Amino acid sequence: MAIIEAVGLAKTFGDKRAVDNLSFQVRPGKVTGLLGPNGSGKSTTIRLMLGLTRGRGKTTFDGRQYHELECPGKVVGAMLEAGAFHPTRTVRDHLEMVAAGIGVPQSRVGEVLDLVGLSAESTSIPKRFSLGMRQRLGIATALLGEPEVLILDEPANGLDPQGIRWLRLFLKEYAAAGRTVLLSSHLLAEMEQTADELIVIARGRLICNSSVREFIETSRLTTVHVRAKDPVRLATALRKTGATVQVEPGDLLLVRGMGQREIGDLASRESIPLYEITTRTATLEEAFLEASHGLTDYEAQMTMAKGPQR
Amino acid sequence: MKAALAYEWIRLRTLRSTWWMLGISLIVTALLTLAFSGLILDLQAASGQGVSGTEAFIVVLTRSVLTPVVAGLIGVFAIAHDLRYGTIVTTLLVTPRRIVALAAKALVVSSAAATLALANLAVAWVAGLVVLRDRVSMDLALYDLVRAQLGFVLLVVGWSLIGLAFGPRSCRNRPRSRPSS
Repeated sequence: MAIIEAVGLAKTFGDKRAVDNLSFQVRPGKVTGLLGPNGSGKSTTIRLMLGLTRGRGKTTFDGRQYHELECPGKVVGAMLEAGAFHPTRTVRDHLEMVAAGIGVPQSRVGEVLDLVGLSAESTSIPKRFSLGMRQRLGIATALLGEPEVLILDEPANGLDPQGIRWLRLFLKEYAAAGRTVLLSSHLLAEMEQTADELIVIARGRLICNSSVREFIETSRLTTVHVRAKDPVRLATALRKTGATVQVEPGDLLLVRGMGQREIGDLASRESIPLYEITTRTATLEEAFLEASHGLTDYEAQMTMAKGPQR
Repeated sequence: MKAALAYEWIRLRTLRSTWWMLGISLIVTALLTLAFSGLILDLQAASGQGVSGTEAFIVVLTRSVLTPVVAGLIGVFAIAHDLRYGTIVTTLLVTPRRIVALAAKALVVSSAAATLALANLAVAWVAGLVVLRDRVSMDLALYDLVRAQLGFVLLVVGWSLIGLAFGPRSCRNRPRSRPSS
């Protein structure tokens, strides 16, 4: 059971602060997702955690920094770049090399190859691999030492639907065995299904460190849809309590900042009959886009999709 | 350190370039030694004299021209491949202490270079003696023989370490994988 504790991580590239005083905790038994827009500092954060990039702050794995661990590969398994293989070294040779380096028996190579479904490619060279196969090899490398902590940077990139499903189930199972799993991903729908906890960062700063459910529920995009006999009077009453109310066609009220139960109680007190009251929870994508709005470095112009402007 | 050495050894021996460079250096050494031994033999035959041990030894010692270059390339590749293909991340995850990782690289590269030098010397001796065996008068002291060959081995090891030191520079202008965020 290894707890990851990052305190005051910071890294500057020239004038740009890639990671800005970032502190968070990753607990065992859960899959924790590291979310952030492009250039938000996710990969740099992971590199800082593992001592691959020099910067400020400290990350401990059960109280010890990565370089202080006696057998680091048996405690922390990491995959940072999918293509980090020599193009002409065979899959088996690559894994045997890492196995020797982290001090695990060579028999473990066959086990991880079976696990990621690359057994048939053990004598192939990564030069001819698709991105998905490279990801599988990267995951196999990370799993060699049967580590207590698994850190994967964008592991689902390039995987086919079967691969993504396998990865999701595998990570959930891995975490359920009391291990610690931290993964970064841009695939929000996938993250919503895989992660239990979230660390959301933008421009190197922590936006949120909570459970996925909490993150979505606290989003302002979670609304309660209400239809009532007297929508105007109900809207006025709701606004008086501080809720945000938007009146839509068909006398539909979209209420934010108040739960279903409170709205029902209020309508009852005001003697306004309700015809419909449902909560529409925001998706992780909506909640994430809302949380990171205005904090992205690379925002595409939506107008381009409508065709050239004259 | 033992694990870091094992990692580096497998890294080196599972690269195709290690083997084709070794093969090419041995072939070049054999061919040049044969050619120069034959030349000496022809020149001496004209004068009717035998070949001195010193001459034969100089031929053997100086015909491995490619060996220091190959050793240097092995040294360059030890770092340059890691940087070029991103495997430096794997190396540092396996051996987080940079000084240990570098020491392991230096030790393995030096050992490989020493082996390369010895193999080339052996090939040069065999090739040289094939041509000169009946004509050589061994007038060279064993001490000088050993000392000069040891010097050659150290020269080749030195080249490999210089290559190792220049490895990062050779990658400076190459595209490198960068973190996505």
